[in-house]
Amino acid sequence: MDSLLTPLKLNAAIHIGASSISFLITNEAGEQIEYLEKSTSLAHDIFSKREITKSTIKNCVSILTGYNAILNELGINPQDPSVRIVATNILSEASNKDIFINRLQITCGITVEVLDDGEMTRLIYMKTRRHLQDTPAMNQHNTLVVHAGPGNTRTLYFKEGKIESYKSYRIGIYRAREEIRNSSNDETHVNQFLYDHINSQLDSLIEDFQGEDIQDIIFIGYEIQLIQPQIMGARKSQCLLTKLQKISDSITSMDDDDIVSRYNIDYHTAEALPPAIAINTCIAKALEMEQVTIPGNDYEPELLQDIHLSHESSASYADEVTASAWELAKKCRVNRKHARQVTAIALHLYEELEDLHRLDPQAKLLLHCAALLHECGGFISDASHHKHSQYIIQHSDIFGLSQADIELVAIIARYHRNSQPKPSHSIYRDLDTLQQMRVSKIASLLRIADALDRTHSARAENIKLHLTRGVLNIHLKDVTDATVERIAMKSKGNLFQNIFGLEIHLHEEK
Amino acid sequence: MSTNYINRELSWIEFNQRVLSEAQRDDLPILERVKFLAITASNLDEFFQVRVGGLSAQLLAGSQKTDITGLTPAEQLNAIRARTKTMYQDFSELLEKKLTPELAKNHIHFTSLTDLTHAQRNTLTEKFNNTIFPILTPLGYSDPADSEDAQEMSPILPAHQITLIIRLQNAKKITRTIFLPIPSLVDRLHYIPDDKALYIITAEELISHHAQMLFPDETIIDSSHFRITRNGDIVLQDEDAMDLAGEMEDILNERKFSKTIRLEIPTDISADLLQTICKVTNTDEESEEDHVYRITGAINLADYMPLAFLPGHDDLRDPEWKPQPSPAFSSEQSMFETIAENDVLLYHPYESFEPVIRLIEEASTDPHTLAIKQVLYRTASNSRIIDALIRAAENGKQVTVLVELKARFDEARNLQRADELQRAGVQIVYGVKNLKTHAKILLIVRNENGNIKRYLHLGTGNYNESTAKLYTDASYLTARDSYGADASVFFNAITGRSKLTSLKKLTPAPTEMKRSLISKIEREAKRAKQGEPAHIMAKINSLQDQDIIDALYLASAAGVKIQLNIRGICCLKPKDKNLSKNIEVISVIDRYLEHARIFYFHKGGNPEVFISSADWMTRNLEKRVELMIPIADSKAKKRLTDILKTAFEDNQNAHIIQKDGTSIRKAPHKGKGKGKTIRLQSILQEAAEKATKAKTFHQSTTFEPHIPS
Repeated sequence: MDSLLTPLKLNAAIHIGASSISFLITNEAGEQIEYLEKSTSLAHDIFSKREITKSTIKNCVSILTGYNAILNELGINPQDPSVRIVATNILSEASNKDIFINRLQITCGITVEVLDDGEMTRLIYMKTRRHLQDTPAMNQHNTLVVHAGPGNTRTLYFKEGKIESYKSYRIGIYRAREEIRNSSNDETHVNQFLYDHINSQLDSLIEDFQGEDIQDIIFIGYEIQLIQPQIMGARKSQCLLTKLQKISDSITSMDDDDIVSRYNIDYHTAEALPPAIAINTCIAKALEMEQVTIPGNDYEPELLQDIHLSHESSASYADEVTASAWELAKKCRVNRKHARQVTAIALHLYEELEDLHRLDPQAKLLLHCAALLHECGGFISDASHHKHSQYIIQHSDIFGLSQADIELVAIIARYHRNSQPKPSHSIYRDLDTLQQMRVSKIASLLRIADALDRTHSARAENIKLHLTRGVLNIHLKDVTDATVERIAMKSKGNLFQNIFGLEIHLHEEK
Repeated sequence: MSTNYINRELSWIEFNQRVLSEAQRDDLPILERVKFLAITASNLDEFFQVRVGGLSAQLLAGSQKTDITGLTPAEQLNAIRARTKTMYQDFSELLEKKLTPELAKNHIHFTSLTDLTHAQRNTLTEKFNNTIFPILTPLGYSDPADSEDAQEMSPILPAHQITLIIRLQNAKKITRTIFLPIPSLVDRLHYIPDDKALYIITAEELISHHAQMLFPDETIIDSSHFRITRNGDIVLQDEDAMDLAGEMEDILNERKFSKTIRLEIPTDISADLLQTICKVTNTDEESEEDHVYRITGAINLADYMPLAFLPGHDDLRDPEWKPQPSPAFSSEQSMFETIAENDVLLYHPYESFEPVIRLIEEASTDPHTLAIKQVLYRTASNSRIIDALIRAAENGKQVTVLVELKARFDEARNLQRADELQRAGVQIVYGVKNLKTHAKILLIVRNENGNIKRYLHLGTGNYNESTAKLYTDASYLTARDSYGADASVFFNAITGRSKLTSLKKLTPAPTEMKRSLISKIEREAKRAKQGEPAHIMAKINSLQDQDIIDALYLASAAGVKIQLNIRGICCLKPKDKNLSKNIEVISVIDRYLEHARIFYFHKGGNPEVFISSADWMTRNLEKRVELMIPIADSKAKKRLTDILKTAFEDNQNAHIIQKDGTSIRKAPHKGKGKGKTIRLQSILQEAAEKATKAKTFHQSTTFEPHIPS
């Protein structure tokens, strides 16, 4: 390409989904430049054979080769950070997941990230937020968002626009479909069998929402949104449950050919449509909703857009994550004042020292959560509370964080006191080198913050940082005697000193 | 049996009759009349190969499937033969009684060798010896006793060319038969000028006159000539196509050896020779008369086309109409700049096709251009467009071309160029399986200051600079983002990279277009029922789809004013009190072939205007990839609406289609304002010339000095 040309500022996202591979290119303003989609039978393979068949792999390779050609047309390298390629988390259930990913790496030169549960929750959350913004009334309501995915169904429950709870259930479109395929020989009663099967899985969901006053229910999902216009009619996004039930009854009694021609969709989607609509219908019925909301048919493009909005651009999402961490901290009866103070100082350090630590924005979120939760282990016992903190965090859900991120928060919290990270600690040893460095850097900031609130009195409120040759100077305003902090810093500042090669000097400023 | 429609084959023959009626016009210059006769004959040849061929194949397969008028293949074939036989009589009569005497008046004489002077004959003999004799290939045939062997022993004769049949006898009185196909390299008409006149002799006359030279030891006892047509309507079996290109080559070969469906012979042929021909050409014995067309005078009149273009006889032709440069473009501004400012509508051939070629040529060397994508259906033989695409690929642009291999009769040419493109690094797609890609679309993707900008050409005609001088077509050039985004989605779909997701502006077939058209027709009907003015105008080449016709009937009943300008097939029955009292159908046959498809829906005074690559035929709407393009620019919309309206005022070259499918030429009004002639094509030509003149005048009054830089 001509070197005089201004390079294109584009972002690309590819989603290898349950029944299709979609591809979105957007410009700086987030406007769609290209959108492509082709169907595959990934979920079909995984749930029926526990592996991805050769022909499906071949098909995926050919689709991605085509997408690569488009990237090439626009002069974008598929390895560029502006390109993000993710795959549905049901891939983890395929025995040949690694072979598949390697094959894509080798033939198409692309690196695929498998979306984990937390990331998926984030994506569903982002979608929901968008919808809540479009319909302000819902911000005042109690709204349950349901996403029936290929393997699991996720719920997000919002009270007045804030997330109240989120859950994942083992009811999935392809899981249900497999169940039916394996157990029913009687063609005529397939639809009743499907409903029965789904209803039998709904107990814990019903229990979770018992007594809740759910005012709105929103169904999002690839399949249900695909036929939204046919369900709702033009320009509507709500319908009565009775109508949904009718459509569900009709779809679940059609065969694939009928569905393909009636709804003008491909065969892969056609096989997923009956369980998808049945799951949504059963949930609405179980929760005794009269009316349901289904947003318009742009599930995939929106998802791809959000894949690209990496964590930093989703500020409200970060708020929800930290709010969830704070809920956990409160449950563990942490000293709220101390936790807030340490968090404030830690974030202040993070921001002031960005040029020094060069951590990514997600690290800030992890630091934030770890700071809120660092003493939660005290709920079990003060002795070795850092280890209890680690244990509690590790085994808790924090909304919107993937399991991998939760592990990191747990490790960071563990290192807020006593020992520095050591290779002899298995939890630390198991991380790759980059993650080890990330954890150490984040923990080092947390340790300084904790030392500065050693008195648990939140007295070091006004802190100024100043770097001189080999020294990080911390000026504590309105503190007359920082002896306590200085002593604490001796044991806690060591990690920072080791990593950054800077001594820490505290200065009282009156 | 339904009588609400007109059979498509018979309707097509009526179209050809309208073309013939141009040749029958005494007021046209004689060589124009010859041209129209040759076109009529050539049209008929194609009709036989494809349509009659297709019906014959159905008949052979035992099909009883009826058409929308309830006719079986056999019934249709009978009707076609009866009707075409009349047409052949019209041909002969016109040529013998009208055109030949008229040519003679103008000193152009069809003649025979015996009427020429000795010197002239010698010249021709020399020509025969030097250029024809070396390439003649006589094919021997001895009549076997057993007819079972007839086929095996038969030589394979070429179709579409005239073949001589010669009966020879040697000294021992043993006879044999020789077939002598006239090689396609040999001109059909040979001209012998002298100082006063021009004499024309046909190739069959020239060769048969000299045939004795080929057989020095035998005597010619009988001779004649004939022409056969074979079934050319071979359907590609897409599902099994491993390599579409390879298969297409096979079919090109196969086409030379399929069943004979027409045998043309002169009336004076002996029964004996005819019998031999039927045997050799495997012409169905039982229905022999059905396949055999006895023709008075010359056969294969399509070959007479070069006579119409004979150099040096401009006084016998209409004055030339030159395609005008569109005033929208100037040499100072790049195509991209002009299109980015405003949408441009070109109406060819009144306006030259040059800007479309220039756009691709500019893109091929433009540093900002990233990619060019185009659908090619039928290109010109030395296509500058393909040259430009090759250059673009060589300059590192990403060039994607969908070459449609299924363009009837042009496959050989398409294949050759596909190879050439591929060598240059162009990414080639050989059409979409099971569908013929007929959409005319060109997409150019540019990087403008780090942003993607797309430029589009959307048309109704092929990217073919030769036919663009003869066919009326519309081109719409735009840089609107919504159109560009749709074009991108469309190309991703036809190149197999994505499923066709919904488009915002363009309406594609086979997925959407038919449904969309019907709903637009129904919406007009709804307005009419509510007492609003409702009006549909459409200019198409063919109307055959039953669902569309039915929708139009309902709209007519609801009170929608429907005006259709249909060049060719029209299965709708117009002017029927019960069906179509509000439907007027005309057909314009003039110097240029009417080819643009334009649709107008009144929409309560806020009209929608579309151009399209698709006719209102089931094959276009259901079996092809087509596009319907809304015209967004208000000036362009007005121009197209005017073109539609003017056609219905034409009283020179417009024909009114009757209830029975035949047509009557429109005439100037008799009463008030009588005699005022209105001719669509000349109005458009004058308008284009006027616009160019205005621009030239403007340029001549605003000087742009050369300033030293």
